[in-house]
Amino acid sequence: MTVTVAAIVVANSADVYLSETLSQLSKQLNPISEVVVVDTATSNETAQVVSRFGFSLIQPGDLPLGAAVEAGLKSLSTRPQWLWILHDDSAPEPNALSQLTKTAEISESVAIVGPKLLRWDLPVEIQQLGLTITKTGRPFLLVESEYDQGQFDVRSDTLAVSTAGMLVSIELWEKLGGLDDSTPVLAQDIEFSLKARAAGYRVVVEPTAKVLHAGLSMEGMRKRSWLGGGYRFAIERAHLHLFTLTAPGPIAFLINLILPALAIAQIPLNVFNRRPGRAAGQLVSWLFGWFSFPSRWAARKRVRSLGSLAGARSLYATPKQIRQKRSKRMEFPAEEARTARRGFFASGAFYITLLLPLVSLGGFPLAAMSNAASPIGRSFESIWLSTGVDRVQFMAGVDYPSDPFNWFFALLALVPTAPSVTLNWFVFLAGTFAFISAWLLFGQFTGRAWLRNLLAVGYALSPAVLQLQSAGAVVELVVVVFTPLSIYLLMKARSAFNSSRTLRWIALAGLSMGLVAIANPVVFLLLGVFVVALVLQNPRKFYLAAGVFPGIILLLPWLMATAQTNPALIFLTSSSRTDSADQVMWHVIALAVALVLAGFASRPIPIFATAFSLAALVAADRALGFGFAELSALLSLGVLLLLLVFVDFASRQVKVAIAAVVSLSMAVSAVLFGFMAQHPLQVEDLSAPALVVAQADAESATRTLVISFDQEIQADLVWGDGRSADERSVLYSTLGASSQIEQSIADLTAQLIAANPARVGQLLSELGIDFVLVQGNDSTALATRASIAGMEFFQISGDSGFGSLSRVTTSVEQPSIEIPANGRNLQLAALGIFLLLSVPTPATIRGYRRKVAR
Amino acid sequence: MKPLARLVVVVVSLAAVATSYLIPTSNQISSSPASEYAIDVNPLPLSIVCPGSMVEVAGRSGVEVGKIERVDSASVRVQSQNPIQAPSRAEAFTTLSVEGDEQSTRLLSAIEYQVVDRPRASGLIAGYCEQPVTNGWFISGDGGAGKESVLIVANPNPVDTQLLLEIHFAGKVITERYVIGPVSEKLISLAAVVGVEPSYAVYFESGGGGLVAAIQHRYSDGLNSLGVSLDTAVRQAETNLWISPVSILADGYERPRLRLFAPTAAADLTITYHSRSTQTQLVEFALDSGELYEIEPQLPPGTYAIEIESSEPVLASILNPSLRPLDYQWISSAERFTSLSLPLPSIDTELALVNPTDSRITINVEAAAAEGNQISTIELAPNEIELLPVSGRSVSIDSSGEFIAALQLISPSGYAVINPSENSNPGQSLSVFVR
Repeated sequence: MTVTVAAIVVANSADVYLSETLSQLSKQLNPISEVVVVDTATSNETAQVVSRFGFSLIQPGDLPLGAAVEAGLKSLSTRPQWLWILHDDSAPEPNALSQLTKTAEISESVAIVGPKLLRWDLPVEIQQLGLTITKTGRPFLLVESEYDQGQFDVRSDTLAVSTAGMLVSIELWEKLGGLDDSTPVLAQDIEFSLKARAAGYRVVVEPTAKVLHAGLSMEGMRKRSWLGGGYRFAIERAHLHLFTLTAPGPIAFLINLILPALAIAQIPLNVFNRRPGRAAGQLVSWLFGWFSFPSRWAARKRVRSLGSLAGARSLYATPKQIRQKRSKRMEFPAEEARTARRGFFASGAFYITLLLPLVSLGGFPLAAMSNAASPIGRSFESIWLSTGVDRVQFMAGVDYPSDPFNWFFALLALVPTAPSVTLNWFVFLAGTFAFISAWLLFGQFTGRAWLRNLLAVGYALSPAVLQLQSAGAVVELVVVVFTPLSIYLLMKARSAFNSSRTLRWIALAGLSMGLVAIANPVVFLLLGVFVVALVLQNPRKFYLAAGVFPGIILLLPWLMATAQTNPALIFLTSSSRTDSADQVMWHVIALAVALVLAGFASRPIPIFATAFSLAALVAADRALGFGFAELSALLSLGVLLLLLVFVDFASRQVKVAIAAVVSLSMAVSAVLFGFMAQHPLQVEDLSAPALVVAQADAESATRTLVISFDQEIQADLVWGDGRSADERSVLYSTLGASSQIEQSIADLTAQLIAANPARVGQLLSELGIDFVLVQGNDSTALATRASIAGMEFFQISGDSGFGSLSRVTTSVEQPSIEIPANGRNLQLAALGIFLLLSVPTPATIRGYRRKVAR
Repeated sequence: MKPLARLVVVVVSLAAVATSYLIPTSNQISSSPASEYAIDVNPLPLSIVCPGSMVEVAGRSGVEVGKIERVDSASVRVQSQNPIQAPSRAEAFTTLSVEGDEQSTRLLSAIEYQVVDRPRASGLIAGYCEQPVTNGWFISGDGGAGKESVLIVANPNPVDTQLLLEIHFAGKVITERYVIGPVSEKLISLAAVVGVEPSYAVYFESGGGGLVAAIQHRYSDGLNSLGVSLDTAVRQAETNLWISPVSILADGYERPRLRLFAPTAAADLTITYHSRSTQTQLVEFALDSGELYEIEPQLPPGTYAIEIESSEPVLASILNPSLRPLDYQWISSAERFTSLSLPLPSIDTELALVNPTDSRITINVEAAAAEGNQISTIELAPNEIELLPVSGRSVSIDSSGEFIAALQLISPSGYAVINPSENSNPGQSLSVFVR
């Protein structure tokens, strides 16, 4: 029996794809009663192409797929038994139709037959071989991106086939009313097949019928309106539609009801799975879906009115198929190792990390350091109160953002030990951390393990780094550790070969650069320039720019506040910076020597990049006049990087000489600035007398008036358990701020010094002061102590290293001051996203094990 | 890469680095100054305390162990703008108090003196009646054969207090604590605390209200008394000290002994002996931290002002012997004034005036006596010292610049020097910086 077939080609543009499609159509071995090209773009070019092949052409205007096919059907001169639907980018092989029709004749119940779709540009790869859905209704390709070796050439029933190359019984078409254009485009073919299944028909895929398919819609090469938006949006809409159609009624109803909440809840999961784009698509489409629920429910009714879908469920994608598909996405052929690069353990770097802390053993962390950066708050809650907030704890609260560097303190406070001790551990191990980050960075330039180890140790034991370590310079050490690490992570992100790994590297780089940003915005700015350079080098990697996002979001409140007051303060983000001797000149000289040596190597880019970035850093430091203590350390890093460039190029004798000089320098530096260094005194992590701390633990509104006599009489109102490093403020100390309670504090101080009790009780109550602490041992301080001791409002609470403390015995009004943190949730969300993206997943780990050159 | 290209790379890079380093450094960021508030508070009534009469240890015979008591009474002379009830003689410590907003020696000032003529002690003791202080220093502690030091501490406050006593000698510190009841005194024989240590410094500190402290010295040779002295406290160590007047009264018999102490850190000192009649002498040396150092300057007869310049805060005091009359006097560093009022004793007195500044000053001295006021004006060149005989009830001194003043008492019974100090409570124009 011979079946009559009419072909309808829906064309959206006249290009090489349409010509090839029509050409292949004209070569079909199976006769076609009539070929109609439906030009939805109404283009003269299409008309010319079609006329070359002598096919019929109709131009009904810009119609969706279902209506276009319907228009083509109506234009047919005779009613065929079967309808062959083709897109303008689907070129069938000459025997495609004959194989499809053969399958169509197998059984009367077979009403839809689909071909094997092959990639247009790579015809040996299968693009699609039947469609199905997961149990949640998500469209699922049974075979995808597989080399066609005939391994799938078994005719079989399937849930659905694509409309590209679909052979459909005209009887079924008419019974079902064709494709429903109100259905999302990517669900149209599956819904049509589902209807056929519900009506008792079979859908079969015929692998011997091959159609080359360009998939212009999926590749984003058609106008967005064709899909009704972006691809992710379209696929999510299709997912939602098919879920509503196939899920049990009550569940479908309930899920549709809570769609927006579900979409928000899924965001972390999508971010964790390195599919942040999907989260946006889900959110938009599910919000859309919430409002379009009635039409979807109507579509469900229409499908269900044709019959039960119970039989179709056996054709849904099985968990095993889903697992296999996920696994295949991560499989790549193993790449030949480009270099014999040894890892962290094999190169001996691990053992070096164990030895490096010995150099700074004199500063072994047993308690809190006593310097500009320590002690910090005694708990995470205490530090969190001064992290990312919009009001600092001075006087009655001053509306300045807290120092951005407090985020680092808060990060350390997450470790379940005393935060100040953790901080001390960071300083103690900073040399080791600096070694690891430099080791990683130098690995991007050399494969020689000895050279990498030597220079990384050279960085960790450089005088500049050791001096910062012995001074307990926390802010500077953060820059020293995380700057080379950030550069390394950015370079890894640039060279990563799959999206999961790229996203992870970007996330890690973003977090690392965030730490650099809050410690030294100048260095962060230079890292930003480096990111721009990487993007310009390869514009397709534009998303590397996302790495600067955490740094910007952490600095944003600071930028806004300083821009309105003193813009130079943008670059001074911490009150805990350390003063150090200016050794920049010696490092600049060393850099100049290293530049001359590196000039012998033919690698201008690293030389230029190192020279200009360090020159910019030196220039900024000198122009701002801050005297960044970490500048010398970064110059050392540059010197070592240039030496690496030179050594890679130099002869064996020169290599030995350089190694000897660096080793000797390291040994001298380790002895002078490591073993013999003076470390900060280690103290209890208290910022106020123990009694004040104990009361502050019970009552956060505790206030202490601190009177000191250093040349002049000074008064300060200290909140809570003392002013720890995280509670200091760059803006308050540099800009100051008038407060309505200053006069009262001055009056009270004067009354106390003059031993005149008049108004003392009233002022104590008004200001909510619980303690008075007199600092100093000179005669004025002692006289003030004596005068306080003689007043009825106080009870002497003893002397300590902080001074002489007196407790207020009368009742005082507890101040209730709110500390707003309006931008902190946004900052937390950004950090959370980057943190989720940085967590390793199977995709990143397998990608690591299976390297590939692309 | 061609050699020329390499050269260009290196030269451009070097130029960039060098240029960046040559950018002039600016310092745009400085700490915000604290808000300054000038506050006027009504000061407490001005109170001063006279230390009282001589203290005798071990009784009249010197063998009554554990006995320590006041003997006789001291004459008290008071000068005040406001009416005040003051005794003319006192045995125990005496508190004098007046109210007033503008407080200085003009509002209240007092001295005491006592001629001592006991079997084991003779001479003249005199001292200034000071405001109570919470801490202070003496470096005149003397021990060993023929030397006796007694610490007199008075607590004029209505509540008790704890006295912390630190004895510094030979790099060691002995700490003692005493409780002194309200409105009472403590007489402490330092020999019981220090033993036979020949010289030591004494630091005292009150745990409560202010105290008045003085050290009484007695010198003897066997059963022969050589003299007595009353030394009042120095409030704190300084880097620039003046001791005046040091009159050479025992030339050929015994030299003055200048004692120096660096309580906090090693110091480099320059000592200058200023005198109108002799050439200025200058000595430089280093003093270790915690070291008590004594020198015996060989000074020709005359009257001197000793200036001590130090790199770190130090304390200085000089033991000045007198042959006729036979007596001793510890003279500690003096305060600077621009205005001063002092009562005068009824024995021969000279007012010593020193110009510690680098410019010439004019000083008006007005002595008030029953027969009328006597006014004199003197001009002092920088570092010049002048001794001016004064008599009457009191003397008021005003100057165009800072000056140092002391009363030198010389009578047949003995020799003494009274070093005044400023009397005022804090309150007026207090400058408070709020941070």
